[in-house]
Amino acid sequence: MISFALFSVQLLLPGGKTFELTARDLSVDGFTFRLTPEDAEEFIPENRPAFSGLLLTHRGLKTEKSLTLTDFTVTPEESDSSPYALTFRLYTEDPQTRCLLKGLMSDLLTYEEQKNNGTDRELSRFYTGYDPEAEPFSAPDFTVYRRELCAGLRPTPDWKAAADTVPHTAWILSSPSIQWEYLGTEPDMFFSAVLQRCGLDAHPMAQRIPDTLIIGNAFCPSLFPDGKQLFSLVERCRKDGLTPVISVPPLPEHRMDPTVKSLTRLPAGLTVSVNDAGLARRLRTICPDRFRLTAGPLLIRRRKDPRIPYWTGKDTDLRETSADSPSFRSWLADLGIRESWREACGYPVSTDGVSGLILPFYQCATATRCILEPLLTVGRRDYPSENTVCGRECEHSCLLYSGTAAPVGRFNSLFGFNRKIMENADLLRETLSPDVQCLILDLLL
Amino acid sequence: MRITAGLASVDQYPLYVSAGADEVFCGYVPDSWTRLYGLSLPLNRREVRYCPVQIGGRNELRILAAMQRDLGIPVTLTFNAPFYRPDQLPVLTDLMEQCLADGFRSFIVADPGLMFLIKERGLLPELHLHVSGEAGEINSEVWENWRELGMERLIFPRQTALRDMKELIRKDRERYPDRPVCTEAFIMNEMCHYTGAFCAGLHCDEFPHLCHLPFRTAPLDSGDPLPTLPVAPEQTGEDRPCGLCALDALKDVGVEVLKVVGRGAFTEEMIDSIRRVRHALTLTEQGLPSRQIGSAVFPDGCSGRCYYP
Repeated sequence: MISFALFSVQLLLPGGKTFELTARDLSVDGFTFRLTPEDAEEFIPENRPAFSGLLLTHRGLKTEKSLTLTDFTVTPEESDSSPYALTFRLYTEDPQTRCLLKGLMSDLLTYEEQKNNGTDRELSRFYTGYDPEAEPFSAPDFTVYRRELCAGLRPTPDWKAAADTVPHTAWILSSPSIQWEYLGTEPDMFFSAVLQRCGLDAHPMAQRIPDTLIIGNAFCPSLFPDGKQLFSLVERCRKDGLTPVISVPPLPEHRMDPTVKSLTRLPAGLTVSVNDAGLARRLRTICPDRFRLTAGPLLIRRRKDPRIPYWTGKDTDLRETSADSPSFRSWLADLGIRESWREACGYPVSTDGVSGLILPFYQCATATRCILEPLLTVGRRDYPSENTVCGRECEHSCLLYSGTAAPVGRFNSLFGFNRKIMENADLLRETLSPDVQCLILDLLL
Repeated sequence: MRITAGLASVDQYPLYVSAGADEVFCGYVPDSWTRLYGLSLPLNRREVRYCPVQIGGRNELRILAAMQRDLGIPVTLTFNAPFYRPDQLPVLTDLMEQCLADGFRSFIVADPGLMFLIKERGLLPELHLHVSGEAGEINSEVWENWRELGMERLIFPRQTALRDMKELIRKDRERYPDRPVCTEAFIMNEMCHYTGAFCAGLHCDEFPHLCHLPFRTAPLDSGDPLPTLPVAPEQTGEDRPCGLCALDALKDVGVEVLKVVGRGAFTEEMIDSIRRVRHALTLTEQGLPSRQIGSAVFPDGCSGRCYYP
C-alpha cells in the first residue's frame, strides 16, 4: 500500500463529490485499489466507472504535483479480492499521468535507498540540508554553552524599543541552586552576576531590571521548592519589591497533595503558573480566587523544534495552537485559569490574549521521570523506574546535543534556543500583541 | 485483561485478531486534511510521509468497517495529536461524525480543546471517548476533568507509576462504582525517553527524532565533576521494551486493556508481539509468578528495557 500522505487519489463523482482511494500496487501505467462490494456497486457498476475522472496528487517533501486523469480504464483483479473488498486495476496511457507515477515511484525508491542504505545523518542532509552532527559540541559545560549562545547575539538597534512596549520583566528561577543564590545575594548583585555569567550583559534585555521573579520549575516535579524554601523566596521577593510568581510543573497523583499543601500556606493573591489542569481544578475547589492562575508552557502545547526552518512545513501555519481556540479558552476559564503565557519558539506565535512571552529558551520535550539519574547510573535515559530517587543530578550535569540549532538537555527536558527573537526587532514586534504585559526571561537558571 | 494493538493497514486487522488482539486502533487521515494542513499539523501522532502508517483513504476505512462488523473486534480511531490549530477543531468533529456514520464509535483524543468541542457539539455518548496518554500528566483532578468532558477510557501515559495507577483507579471506583472508567496501559514496544504529551518535536521521515540526536553528558559548570557514564547493560536477544513482568501488578491495580504499540511496525513483528502478550496473559492466569514471565515469553532473553522496572 502506498502511503496516503504521499500519494492520494480521489474519484471525481457527479455533483462535485469525491471519494478517496488508496493506491496499493504501483506501476508506471497505473495502480491497483480496493473497494467494498457496496462501494464498487456504486462507483464501478458492472465494471464501468461511474466517475468522470480521478484527481491524483503526489506530495513529496518539497513538491506537490496534482493532475486530473480522464483517460483510463478500470478492470477487476479477481485474484486479489476478498469477501470485504474487490480489487481493481487502473490503467492509463496518458503520458502526464505516467510521468507523475514514474516520479512517485522514483521518490519512493530514493527514500527507501536513503533509509535502508544510509545513516540518519545522510538522510537528513539529503532531504533537508540539516546536519544532525554538524558543529559537534565543543563547550565544556552548560554555563559556557549558554554564555556562548547569549554573548553571540547581535540584536538590531531597535530591539530595545520593540521590547519597551512591554511594561514588565520577569526572570525564571528554575533550580534550587539559583534560588539559594538569590536568597543569599543582594538583588542588584544577583541580577548583574547572572547576566554576566550568561553572557547577556551587553544585550538590551540586561537593561530591563526584573520586577517579577518566577519561582519553580515548570517541568520537573522533583524540583518544586519545599514549603520552607518557597515561603522564604516569596518573602524575599516582597522584601526586594519584586512580584513573586510560583511555577508548578505537571503533578503526578502522589505529588498533588503535598504540593497543594505548600501552595495553600502561601499568602493569598499570588500568581501561580500551572502546567496541568488538575492543579487548577484542585485550587478552584479548595480555595477559589485565592490565587491568580496562569497557564504555563506545558499546558499550552504546540509544535516546537529548533529544526523547523529546515523542514518544509509552512511556518505561518503554526502561529496559532489549540490554546487560541474558543473551546480551549472556555476549558481554561472553567478551571479558573484566566491568563496564559507563550514561549517564543522560533517562529511567529500569536499572543492575542496572552499576558507573558517567554524567551529565549523554549521547551521541546519533557519526561515526567528523570532522565539524567538513570543515564548516569544504569546508562540509559529510558529507564522509567518509579523508584528512581532524585539525586539532583541536574544541579551538576546536563546533556549537550550536536547538530545545527541543537537543543540542550536541562533538568528533565530538551530546550531550543530562539536566537531570532533576541536579535530581530521586527520579529519581536510581530510577536508582541498589546495584551503581552511581561517579557519572561528563561535562561534555564 | 484485553489486548489492543496498533494497525497500519486494513490487511493487518484479521491477522492481529487471529494472533489474539481483542481490539485494535488505527489512524485515518483524509486527503482533505493533508491538502489543507500537510504534515506540519498532523491529525494524529504518526507524522510521516513515506511509510504507510495510517490506514489510507476512505475506501480502506469502509473496508475496515466491514471487517469490524463481521469479525466483531472493535476498532478505535486515533485523533490524538496533542494540539491542533483552532480552525482544525471543527474539521475534526465533522470528520468524527463521518466516521461515526461509517460505523466507528471509539476515538482516542489528546487535545482538551477537542474534547471540549466534542462535548459541546453533543457527539457524546454515541462517540466513545478514549483519552490518550498524549493528553498530559494524569492525576485524580485531571481524571475528574476528563470525566466531565466524557471520558470512558483512559490510556495511562507511558511513564505513569504503578502506585499512581493504583490510587487513581481506586478513587474512581470508589466514586463511581456503577460506571468506572476503563483503563489501558502500555505493555510492549516503542519506549520513549520523553513523555509523549510533552514532546513537541518533529517526528517526520526526514529527521531523526530530537531524542535520537547524538549527545554527551556535560557538567553544569566548570566546578562540577565530569559526569561519567556507566557501561550500558548489554542487549540480549530481543530489543523490545515491554511490561510483561508487571502483568500481575497491572492486573492488581485494575488495568483492563494492554496496549501493544506499533502502528507502522512490520506486520510479523506486531503479530509476534501480540502472541507473546497473549502467551504471557495465559501464563499469568495459570499462576506463573511475574518474575518468571520474561524468561518464559522471551526464552532467548528479553531486552532488559522494562516499562515498569
